[in-house]
Amino acid sequence: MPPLRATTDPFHAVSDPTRRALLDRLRLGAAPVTELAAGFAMSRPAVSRHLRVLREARLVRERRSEHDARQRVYQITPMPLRDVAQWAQSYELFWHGGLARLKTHVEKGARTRAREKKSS
Amino acid sequence: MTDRIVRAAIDIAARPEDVFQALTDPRELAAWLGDVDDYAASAWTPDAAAGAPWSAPAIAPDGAPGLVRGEFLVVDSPRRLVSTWHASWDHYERTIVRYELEPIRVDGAEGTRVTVFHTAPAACAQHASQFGTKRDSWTLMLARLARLMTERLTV
Repeated sequence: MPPLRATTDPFHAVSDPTRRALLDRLRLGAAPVTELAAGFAMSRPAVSRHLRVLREARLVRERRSEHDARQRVYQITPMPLRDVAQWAQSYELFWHGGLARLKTHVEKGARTRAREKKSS
Repeated sequence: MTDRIVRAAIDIAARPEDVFQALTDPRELAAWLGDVDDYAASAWTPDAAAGAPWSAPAIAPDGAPGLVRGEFLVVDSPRRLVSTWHASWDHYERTIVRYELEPIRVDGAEGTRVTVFHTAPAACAQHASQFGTKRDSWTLMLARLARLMTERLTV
């Protein structure tokens, strides 16, 4: 494996408290740089530089806003940090809840249909 | 690198036809995938067809509201449904969901056993696995960091 440049190294990226705070904020959801900068006592270009380090380490990505194509928002990208087991674990959790809701939903519908049949 | 696969199953006290519709009707998908409670049971929509796109609000593994998009690949009512699956919380990574429906008896009445197979082809996982190929010190540290982050993401 070739040695990593300091800027692409995820450990270098998370070694800084501001960048850890940015990641913490982005775990709550995507946000434009203006909003991110508002939460820190530093200039917007300084926040942008931190975001670039996170981006080069592929911990966040930049994309166009769904609401305003001119605006760019930052989004956390947990995938590089997840291994196969973690993917499976999160979807086991997901389908456990999803299938339980499917059951509740369909059985409720089946009861409604049975009642309608009886009353007609 | 093998495929990532998740399997889950449940028994439902309803006919396979009714379960199948809940897996293909956009409003019904919203009702159970997204826990959206404005669905009327009498609503009717045309049968899904292979190639048809769909989307629905969905509750992400971490409990946050998300969105899932897909395209039906195999529509074999009421036995088998295969669809692509692109979830907002996976940055719309392309994965495949297959449902198998089996008629069973539940409490002496018609019922359905639903088994879901969720697969992420190995190609999709390449960027996720490249950090884990060598067990040198920094990959181990990264694995620890990953655990820390995903714990906070999935709890």
